Amino acid sequence: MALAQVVYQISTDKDFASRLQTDPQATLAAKGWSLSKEEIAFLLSTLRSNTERTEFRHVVKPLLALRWY
Amino acid sequence: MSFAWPGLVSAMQLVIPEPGEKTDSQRDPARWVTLPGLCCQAVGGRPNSTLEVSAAWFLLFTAAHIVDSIEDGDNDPLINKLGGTGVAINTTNGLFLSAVMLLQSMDAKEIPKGLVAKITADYLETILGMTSGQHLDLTLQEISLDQWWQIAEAKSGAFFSLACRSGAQFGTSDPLKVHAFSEYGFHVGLMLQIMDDLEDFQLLLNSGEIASPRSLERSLAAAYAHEILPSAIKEEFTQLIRIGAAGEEMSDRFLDILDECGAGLYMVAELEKHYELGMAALREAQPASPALEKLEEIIGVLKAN
Repeated sequence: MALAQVVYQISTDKDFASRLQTDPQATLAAKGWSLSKEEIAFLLSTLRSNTERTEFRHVVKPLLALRWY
Repeated sequence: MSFAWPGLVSAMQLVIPEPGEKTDSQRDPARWVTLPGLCCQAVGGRPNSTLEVSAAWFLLFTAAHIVDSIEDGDNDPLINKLGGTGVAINTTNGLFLSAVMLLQSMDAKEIPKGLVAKITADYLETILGMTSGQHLDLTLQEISLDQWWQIAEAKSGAFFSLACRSGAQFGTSDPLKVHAFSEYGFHVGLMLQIMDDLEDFQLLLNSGEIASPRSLERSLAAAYAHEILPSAIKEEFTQLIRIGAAGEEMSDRFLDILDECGAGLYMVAELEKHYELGMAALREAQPASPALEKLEEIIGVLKAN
């Protein structure tokens, strides 16, 4: 559940988010966490761009157009 | 299928979504029935050879939806339309057995007997695994984040994997290619489950109230929040769900907690991850073809939303 822990840390600790952008591997290693290349790439691109699209209220609406039932 | 039981057949026809029934094709569940044929075509097979497995898969899809609605206690108008829960359960029995009969009917076609037996066994084992996932979902008092994924993988992940794997087997016996399509379907199923889970949150955004605390408590967002929130906020969050977060102020607080802990970012990150893994599986299934492009488009639409 490393991804969940990293996401929570990004959302609640600005210093951690900043360090992650500068040196992702060392920042994760310091916490004993490991993410895949894809996960790191996505998180970094989100941190560098507009994070509004990942706000919970923003996420709920458009996704619902695609329920599998 | 025999038509000796007009009442049951009518009930089954009533619940099967007609292709194009919905004006917005993105919301039409019948679109998933193309998956076995597309996977077959992508490996050089004839999509028509997947007619039975596609139809069987879709009957099971429909039955699973009705069973899920009954077990979750949803107020599904379809169940009322059928004449109540008893009739709905009986209709799903008809759908399950019709699906098995469709799979068995492949024996009469020019398909290697071993393949028919293998695919039929795969269907039955997958449905049993889904039933087991549903059992876990219904019986666990609380769902951890790990358990949420375990249940999602056993249900929608396995079910969409089955659609793609069975289709590909009509076009190739290469186990690496079959595995690639199986993986693709698995990730499509998980992406859909993430989205499907948000229904109750939509209701909360629209009405400011929690209609079904139980299903909200068992959602991915709630499982994530329970996993990572400090205990004091976790307790407040749980209380807000259990009392139904009635009123604008309480529902706002509930959504604020999810926003502040990064639930939206977590869900989008998981969607992105499963999109990348699904695309990687498709790359294993090269060469490029129009069918493969269509499969890329299907998973791309899920990501774009």
